[in-house]
Amino acid sequence: MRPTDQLQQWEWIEAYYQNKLSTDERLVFEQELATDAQFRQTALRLQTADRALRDLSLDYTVRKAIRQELAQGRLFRRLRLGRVVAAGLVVIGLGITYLTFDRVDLQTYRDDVMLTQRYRDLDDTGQETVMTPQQRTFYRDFFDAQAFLANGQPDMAITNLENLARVDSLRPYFRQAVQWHLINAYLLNNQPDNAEATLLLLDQAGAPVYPIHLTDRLKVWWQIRWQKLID
Amino acid sequence: MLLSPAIAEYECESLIRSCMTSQDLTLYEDLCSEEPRRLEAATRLLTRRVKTIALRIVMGNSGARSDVDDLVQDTVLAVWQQMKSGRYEVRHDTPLDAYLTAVVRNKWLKTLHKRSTIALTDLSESIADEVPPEHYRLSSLEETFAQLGQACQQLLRLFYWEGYTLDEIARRIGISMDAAKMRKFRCMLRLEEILRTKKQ
Repeated sequence: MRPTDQLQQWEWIEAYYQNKLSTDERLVFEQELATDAQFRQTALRLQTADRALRDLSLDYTVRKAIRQELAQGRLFRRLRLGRVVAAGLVVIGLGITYLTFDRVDLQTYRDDVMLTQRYRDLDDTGQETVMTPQQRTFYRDFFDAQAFLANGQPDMAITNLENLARVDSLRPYFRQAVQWHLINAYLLNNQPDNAEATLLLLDQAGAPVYPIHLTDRLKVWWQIRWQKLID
Repeated sequence: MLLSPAIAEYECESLIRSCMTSQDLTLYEDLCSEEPRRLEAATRLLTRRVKTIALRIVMGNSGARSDVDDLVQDTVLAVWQQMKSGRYEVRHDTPLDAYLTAVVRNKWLKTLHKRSTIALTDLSESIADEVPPEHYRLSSLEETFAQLGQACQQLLRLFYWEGYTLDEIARRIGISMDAAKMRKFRCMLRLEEILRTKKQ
């Protein structure tokens, strides 16, 4: 039966175009449509408005989804860029920390220690060696300097190494070995100016024959600047 | 004429399906759907696909990254409206991405023409392949909707846009359920009246 109340009639129309009426009810409804022009017009008006509102709401949903997707993309890009920048800063920070606080590792230091210790032991036991007294003195002083450096006594190492650096007859390899150890000792003793002067001498000495790794050269260069900066 | 519910379904449901990939078909069906969640997910997917194409076209043809978002928004809306209205014609030799590329190209071309800047040598071939302009019924609907009173706009927005029930709306705006129903129908009739006046 067609409702008599206006609100119920509108709800009845809504139920029809939302396909919520039973088959029997639909038949009754369509009979009413056929016989009552005013009712048909009201039904058409409500359905037209409903269609328009549904279209608008779908349009709203689509626009909102596009905006959200694009905003998400922008946020993601920003986060991605942020992550790259942060990672870059962390890498730079770690690199600076490494160059600043990691000790300079003279590559052949261990070989030097073993060699000089052997000669020193030979000298202490009084065994015959092929070394001249001058060589014996060099090895003894050099070994002592290395021992001082290893024991955290760079000031005492500096005294020995400075004496050795003044010897004229040293071969280039030993001279450069002494100079690198001296630079290391200066850095450990917070004497960046002396370290820099010695590094300059090394650079002027010609072809490098004492093997030093590139990162250790970089560490020396940076630590000199770092110590000067914080002094 | 009052349409029966079966006929009132969107026209896009009836389009040819055989030549689309299953992914494209799903996307197409979801874009034709009236279910907000489904439509939203499909729109996001379409937006991502269009964005990939737009980036390639814009960055390769005198554009900047800042141009991409506007182009993507225009393209997605146009494509969705074409599909919804049944104007999108599925062709055997044109996959969805090719269609999207054509729309993006043409929209970008129009933008460049408006700017009257650089020679469009590599885009010129697509001028002839102009995509039919999308209909502006929705923008007209928006204008009509804006002519309604604030109370009507609020109630209809809550019901149609936000998906609130009439009971929730009644409580929210502090009126009885029957009053909310009555207001909703009156607002709908008012909207239809404005639409009809505009047509005349």
